[in-house]
Amino acid sequence: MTTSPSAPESMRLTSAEALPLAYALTAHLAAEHGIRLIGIKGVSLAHHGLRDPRISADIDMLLHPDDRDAYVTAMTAAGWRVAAEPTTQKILGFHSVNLLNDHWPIGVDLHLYFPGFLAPAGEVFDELWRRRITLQQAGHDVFFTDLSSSAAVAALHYLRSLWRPENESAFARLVEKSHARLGDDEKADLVTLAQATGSVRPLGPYFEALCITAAATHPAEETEFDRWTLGSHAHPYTAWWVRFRQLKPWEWPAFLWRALFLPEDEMRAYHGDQSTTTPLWKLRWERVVRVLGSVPATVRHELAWRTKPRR
Amino acid sequence: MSTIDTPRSPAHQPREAGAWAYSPDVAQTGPADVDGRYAVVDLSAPATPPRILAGPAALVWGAVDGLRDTDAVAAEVAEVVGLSPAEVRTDVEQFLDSLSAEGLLHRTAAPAEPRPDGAPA
Repeated sequence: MTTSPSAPESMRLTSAEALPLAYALTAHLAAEHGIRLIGIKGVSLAHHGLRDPRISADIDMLLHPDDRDAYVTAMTAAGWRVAAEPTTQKILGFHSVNLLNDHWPIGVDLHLYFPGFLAPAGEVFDELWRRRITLQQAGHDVFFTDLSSSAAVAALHYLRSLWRPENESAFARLVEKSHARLGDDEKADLVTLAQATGSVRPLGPYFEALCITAAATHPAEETEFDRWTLGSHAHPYTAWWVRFRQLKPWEWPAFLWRALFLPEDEMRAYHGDQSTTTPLWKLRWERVVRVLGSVPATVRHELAWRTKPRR
Repeated sequence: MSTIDTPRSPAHQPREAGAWAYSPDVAQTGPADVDGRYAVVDLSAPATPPRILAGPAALVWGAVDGLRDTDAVAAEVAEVVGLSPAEVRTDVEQFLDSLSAEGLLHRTAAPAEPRPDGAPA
């Protein structure tokens, strides 16, 4: 029996089964089309002893940004579809494409770059690719990030929004496991990676927790670090305000309208209740209430961040 | 529901003799992941939905090891279900042939080697 959305639940693919199969499938398609693809986070973190194994809702794969269209085309031909492209403002931009398939219970998060590596995306990818390791998934070879790259990716992921309580605790666990996992040689290699990818300053809190000292040597750390700092510390709604300030007055009405109400597919994909039956007006009304209700917290967050002493 | 009904090419047809083996492009999770069943994807046909093999289908799939031919797979399945090999052979053979037609199994080039214990390989 093939898995199908209409199949009895007992015969549907579970997430535990889907994860290794999806790794094998995405890697196979990449190899078939001559595209370099690396698994990040997920099983590589567990493999390197940086996180306990767990069942995720998606797999995260990184590819060279130039290969985006070719790979999305290959995945589309294999029955996957791109989830609604979000138009929500983000200071650090959108770094991934979310691919879905009705026959699979998990998604594929296709990363074009990883925020926090401040060097150009292609340069970062080449460095991570050069360091890649191979792990078996569902009986097939799949490329994943090495120990240093995995540690940096995990730390940057949590540091991107450390103000979220769940990320704060996950970061603390990563530090704890890193203490046990990283010896002097591994720490030295981590510094080498960070310098090559322009992530010494973004990784500052992680390095500090591990008693690592390193100098930022990549020029991108000078030009891009402020944007990283703002993007990783500001409240998510701040991005709308940052963008608003860049607009001409006659652009304000359309911008505000879109900010509050969002296109329907985006509203349902990212801000709804995962149902297709809830009326759109209800979702939009709930968003307006959410946005207005968060204004005081956003302002407080912004003021606290602006007045916080910087190192 | 999507199904795979027809052979894709003559290359997927089983040969007359030889042991059964998984096709090189098969990706699979075993019964340890979800109790007693296999989830299988043919990477050479990536648009085909993953296939779940449970119950008797899982027994047949699990008996394929690159060494057993049809008789040996039937013997293995029969032992598990408590029937004689002759009672299950037709069903087992049809199922193996259907998996072969779908490109999930193939026969090894050489006939199966006899096992050291003298049992059919």
